[in-house]
Amino acid sequence: MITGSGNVSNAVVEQPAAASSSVPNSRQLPFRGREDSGLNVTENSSALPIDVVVDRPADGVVVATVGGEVDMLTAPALRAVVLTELDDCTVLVIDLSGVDFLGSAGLAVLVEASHEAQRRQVELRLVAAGRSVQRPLEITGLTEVLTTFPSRDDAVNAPG
Amino acid sequence: MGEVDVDGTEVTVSEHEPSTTTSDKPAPGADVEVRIAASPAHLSVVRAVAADLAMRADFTLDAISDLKMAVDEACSELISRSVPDGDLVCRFSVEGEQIHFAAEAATTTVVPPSRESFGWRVLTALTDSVNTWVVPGPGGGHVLRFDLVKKRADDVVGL
Repeated sequence: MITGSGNVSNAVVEQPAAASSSVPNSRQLPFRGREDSGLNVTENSSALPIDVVVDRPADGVVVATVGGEVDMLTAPALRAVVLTELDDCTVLVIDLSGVDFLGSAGLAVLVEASHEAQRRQVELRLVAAGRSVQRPLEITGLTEVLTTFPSRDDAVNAPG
Repeated sequence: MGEVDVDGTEVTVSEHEPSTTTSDKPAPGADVEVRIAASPAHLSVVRAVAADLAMRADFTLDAISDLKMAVDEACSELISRSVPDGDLVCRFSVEGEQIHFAAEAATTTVVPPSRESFGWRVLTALTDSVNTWVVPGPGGGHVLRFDLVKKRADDVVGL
């Protein structure tokens, strides 16, 4: 819980024993808050205004579904999940449909993900729907660099 | 001392406070000031204020999105450079067809953000004008300031 003073207790979020999502074969990965700025995260995984749920709908295909806000506070959590998943797939879909805000910290994660994916010969696909995500991608020219789809199904089923 | 960046945004990056402000003082009641601890946890508050004021000022949806992002960018820069336990002070002025946003924080660095950085290029893409500069702070420190203007609609042919 974030108190009025902005100070919160410090902990690494541990992976829950059972998946809480209704998506089959999904798991929520642990993520770390920033450890260098004095900002900490609580033991309650819902304290950060972001959630990332990972599932594997097909062989070698990983979908990371992101909800909430991606800013300086929460981008490190997304980054940690993405870099972990890039080690273990041939196609990574980052589904941003549920994202209400995407700032430059989040865009930087997507750019880094794109470079890392190329390095590991993983195909990176984004699901970008709605102004909150499409506008930042357009205005920074990243729609030229990143492959986007309007829906999760389009992204998952696109030919490799 | 103004330069025009590639996309038409007026950009000034200087070590000294500009001699003139970018606008007259707005009418009483148009100002909103937000003071937060310089922590990323509070960015959403400043974004929410920006979005609320922009909606009330009849900004287009794209302009609201751009203002939120620009405010977030400026505040994130300030927070990342802030002295420990510092505060960030933001001020919004609704001026007819535009919103003027100014923010400052006591910082550990003397040099303003680089014009080559990704974040700065994002700021110039999002805004109609943007400034950043460092002034001496009370007690011998430094204060980094950001100043930006966003119009309610893009000047796009056909809009």
